[in-house]
Amino acid sequence: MHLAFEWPDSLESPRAGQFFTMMPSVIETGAGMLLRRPLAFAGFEKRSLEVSESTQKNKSLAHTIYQIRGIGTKALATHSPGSSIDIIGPLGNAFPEPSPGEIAIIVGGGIGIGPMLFLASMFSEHSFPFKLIVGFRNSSSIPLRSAAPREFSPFLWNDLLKDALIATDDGSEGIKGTVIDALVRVESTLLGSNRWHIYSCGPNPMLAEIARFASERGAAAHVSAEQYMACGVGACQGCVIRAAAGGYYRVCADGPVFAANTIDWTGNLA
Amino acid sequence: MNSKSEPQGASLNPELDLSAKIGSLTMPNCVGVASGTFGYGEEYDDLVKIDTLGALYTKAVTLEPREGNPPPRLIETPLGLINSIGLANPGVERFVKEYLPFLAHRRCAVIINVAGSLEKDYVMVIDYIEDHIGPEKSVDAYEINVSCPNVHKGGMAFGIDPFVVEKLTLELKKHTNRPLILKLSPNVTDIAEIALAAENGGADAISCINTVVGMVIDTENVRPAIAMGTGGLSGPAIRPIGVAATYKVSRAVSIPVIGIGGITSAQDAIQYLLAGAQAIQVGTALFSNPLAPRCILEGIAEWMNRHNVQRVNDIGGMLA
Repeated sequence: MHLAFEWPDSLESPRAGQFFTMMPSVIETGAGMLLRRPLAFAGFEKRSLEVSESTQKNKSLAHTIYQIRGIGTKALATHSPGSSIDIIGPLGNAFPEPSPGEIAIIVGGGIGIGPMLFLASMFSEHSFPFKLIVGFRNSSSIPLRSAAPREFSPFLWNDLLKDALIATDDGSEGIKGTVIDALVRVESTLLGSNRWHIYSCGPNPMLAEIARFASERGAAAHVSAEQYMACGVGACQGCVIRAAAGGYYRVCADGPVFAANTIDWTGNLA
Repeated sequence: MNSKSEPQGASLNPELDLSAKIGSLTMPNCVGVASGTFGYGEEYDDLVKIDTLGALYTKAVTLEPREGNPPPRLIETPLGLINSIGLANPGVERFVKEYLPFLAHRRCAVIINVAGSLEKDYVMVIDYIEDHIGPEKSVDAYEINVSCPNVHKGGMAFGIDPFVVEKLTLELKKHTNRPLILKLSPNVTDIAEIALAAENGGADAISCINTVVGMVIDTENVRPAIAMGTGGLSGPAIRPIGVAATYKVSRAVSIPVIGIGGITSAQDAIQYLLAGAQAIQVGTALFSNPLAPRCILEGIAEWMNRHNVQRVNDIGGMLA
């Protein structure tokens, strides 16, 4: 599913990697939902000051994509266009820019492609060299194609996906295999004289594989980690992930973006 | 959004006395934020005007730093939340140096929640704070956590034995002149008996209740939903347990009772006040609405106007 909402210009503009928490205004009676739901930004369109008030581009728009998984996302999906939702954001940190001489390898898995499309759109605007690799279970689980109405296909999402290397578990689209298989496939052609800087978002086991792949090749890697959250602002210490140096990081406040080698992935696969 | 916006309107009637007295301490209003849900205050600084709170109860402070329990630490349940954080905190030394300065000179009462595994741990935390805080107002009281269900040793083990609670309270009273609030566990046969022991030991107030032991099992993965197996249940799911405990405890002791457990709205808070609480704490509700304390306070004021009662302190006497 795709959600676009108006973003007040008085607030800091969201960056790729950051998230917001939302509380749907319509919740099914008896659903018993208590916590806000964190969702990653999948894009941001800054209001263009040059265009006139009458055009459609007179408001900044934030975008996210999500899967209907539980009561929170189910409730969110029932909101009609123009209705209000309660949002806190932008929260957390953002992906760093690549260093000179690096090529960005942007790897998204499943619904984790949201922030990766956002990052690719930002890098595209800044003319940083990048390659987008996305992995899904099968061709029908590729979001946006079915979810995004045509009037909402911003940020070159479709163009970005068209140029992306796609991997599916069953081979129903792109190459058969995981994003790691795709990385290995393109390694020889893409490496050239550029150093890789891998950026990734997806399920934690995939991020663990990304971390291993990057460390074996001495490549820089930043990943956006996932964890069950309560407060979203660093107070409750609920959403932690095991740090490689011992102890824990709070995903909401210390992350969600981490250098892949600072996480102890063996402790975070549950 | 990241702005210090507060609900407008419903301005508080200046003739109402919304304050709460705990021993020598007067809280500017009766609505506090519960330990463990508001960090050390700084985390919510972008969203909440801390000075509008009645009291800020800090995340538990222990003698040594604690990294806490492995994840997953949280699971949502119907109108509830189970957590097993394991008292993750930087330890008293770093707390005083890095976190306490933010809390100095606050209009709201600043109450340090103290936890430990042994009696001497509690003593040493209080001694350290007393030795290191300057003359300026930065600590108004201590809330003694004898009720954490999520640590292997100590915590709740203290809170289930009236003799141990009395002895601990007696000892801690020798180390500070600031009010001592004992935070009790509902996971006991008779919470009133424990509260009475705390009062006999010299406690200035009782916080009632900490979380209720609970568990969720993931039936697909065939394992507990949180890493530690069981955790502490909070949220509206436990509110009737908290109200009943407040009702029992406030009738057993003559010191003030601070009601906690699932307070989300003014009506919830008023249930606790009618049950005998002098003040309340908002915890899990902050996670869905960081502005809940202010909304609750305004709702309490509105209710007091409608019921023709001037002082929060008088609400407990109204229950039929």
